[in-house]
Amino acid sequence: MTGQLRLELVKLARPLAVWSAWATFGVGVVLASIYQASATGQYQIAVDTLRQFAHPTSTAEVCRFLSVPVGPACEQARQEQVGSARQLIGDTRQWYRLAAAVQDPLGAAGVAAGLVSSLAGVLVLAGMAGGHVGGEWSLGTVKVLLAGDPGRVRFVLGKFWTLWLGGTGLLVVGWLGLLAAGPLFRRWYAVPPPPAGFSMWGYAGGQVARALLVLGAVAALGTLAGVLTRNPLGTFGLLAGFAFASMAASVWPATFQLTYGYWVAAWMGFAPVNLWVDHVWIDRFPLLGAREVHPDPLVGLVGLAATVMVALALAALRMRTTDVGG
Amino acid sequence: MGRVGNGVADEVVRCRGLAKVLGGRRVLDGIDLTVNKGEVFGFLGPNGAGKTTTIRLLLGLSRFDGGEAYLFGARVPVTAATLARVGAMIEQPTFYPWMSGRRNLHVLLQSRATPDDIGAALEAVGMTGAAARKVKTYSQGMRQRLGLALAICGRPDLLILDEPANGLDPAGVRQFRGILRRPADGGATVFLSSHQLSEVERACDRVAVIHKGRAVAHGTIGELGGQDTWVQVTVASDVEPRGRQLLAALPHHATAPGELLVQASSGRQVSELLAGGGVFPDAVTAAGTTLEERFLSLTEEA
Repeated sequence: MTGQLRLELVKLARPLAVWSAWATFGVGVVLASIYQASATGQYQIAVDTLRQFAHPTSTAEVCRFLSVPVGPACEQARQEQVGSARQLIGDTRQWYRLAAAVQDPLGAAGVAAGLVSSLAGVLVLAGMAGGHVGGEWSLGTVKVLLAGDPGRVRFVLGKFWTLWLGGTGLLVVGWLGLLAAGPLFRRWYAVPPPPAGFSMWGYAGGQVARALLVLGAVAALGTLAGVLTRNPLGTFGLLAGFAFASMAASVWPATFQLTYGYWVAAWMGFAPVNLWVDHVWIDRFPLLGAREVHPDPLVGLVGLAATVMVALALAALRMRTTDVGG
Repeated sequence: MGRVGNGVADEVVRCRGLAKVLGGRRVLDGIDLTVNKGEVFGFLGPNGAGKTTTIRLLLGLSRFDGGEAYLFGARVPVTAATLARVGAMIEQPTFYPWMSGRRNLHVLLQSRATPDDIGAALEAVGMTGAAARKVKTYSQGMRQRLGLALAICGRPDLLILDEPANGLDPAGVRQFRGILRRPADGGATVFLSSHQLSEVERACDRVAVIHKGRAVAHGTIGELGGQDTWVQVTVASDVEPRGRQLLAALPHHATAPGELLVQASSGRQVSELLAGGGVFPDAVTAAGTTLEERFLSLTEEA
């Protein structure tokens, strides 16, 4: 199995397909993080506002700035400014993990893990699955491989593992991109101080570990899509379509907890998009419903683990019961 | 001859009643055939007769809907260990175009061959010089040669070749003939599927003819008349009875008064027999090989 896995990796390392996909993802992660990093400007604005209004050197100057006459009305307006600034500083401290993560070498891995687990990762991996799995049929090489080694389940597992490794490669590439851009982020954007008890190790380690399961689910789905459609475009279309369909279905109160999109967001603990963007995924369930739902990580874990097992079982069944073709 | 499993010790390939249905159509309808150890076996049939489907079934790439097949006495689908004894080239050779020829062999053989085996196979098909080039730069003939290298790599006990001479230039075809005989001379078995009668006639010991999913004839080339040609002889009408008497040892029949069609090894053989008895033909012309005649008669009916 080790030898087969090595040869599958040799095939995966296809210059134009994989290297360009990785490069695109790496650049995409950096660009997404520039947007994220720029949001830390809100923290600096809040700190400057607090400094200006909490202990003013001249009351008259503050009142003139607020366009309010000196007196009780000005004092009330000043107090309101101080309160807003303190609220914003408090909020931004809650965002610390995300604000600091893109600047921190360790935290950057957590951000990359979030992005690779989201829709962006699914789309890139769908492209890789198209070439790596569906491509065996379009090239006609599948019949040569299976004429030499009849292990259909081995074939499925080999594709699954290499796609999973390709996904972890994406994560690493995204992380490297952020590491390279980190000095610029640190120079351009101020980061709020950490809240009590925050651990960058805990954040990044947790996200990366969780992402490995999500990547497993995508790899299993990509393998299944490949053996079902037996061509690159069909593989990409089926997997991408599945992701979009899952996002669409997750807005409905009756079904959202049964969707792949919910399981990923719940398992990864994605923050709602209006707070911060460390992913490209639906994360408010259900969007059309009246109530805000807090995703349950346990449901996410069970859903994703079941996705891996069911997708691999279906792929193996399909391979074992149908002619090879190609 | 001792039996191994459900096959006979010297039987490398054995099919009994092999059937396959595709899209509601019975593309194989009870194929029976046996290939013995060390022989070069020709599997003849027109396009669409079921040759490639039979090969796919033998290699476990397709499931059969009836009958049974054995490779080296093991029931198909066989294990990886049994398949490791088989080298195959199925339809058009297929490769990873972004890899070199040598790397393709390494990857497609999935570590079953050593670098030395790969080097020897590439040398045998005359591809050593191009082995480092990417396959996407290869011509059709070069791909065909690389496909042959893939099949013969590691000296398999059974070589299954599906239309291997397609796309080869005349020099390549000649080289291919040599490649084909070599494994057989070394004790290996060759299963050659083709619709090129001349290649089969020159290379094979035994032949099966398949048509519309059925094996319609099988036997040695001699039994199917493949070593002979049809010779058209024209003699004067008054000496025709004497001429037929002189040709009694050869299968023949009259096609018109003074016109005889004789199955012989050559026109010269016919001329010598007639001249030896004092009958001098007006004309002796080759009228096609008997294997070709037989093949066409077996496969041209509605």
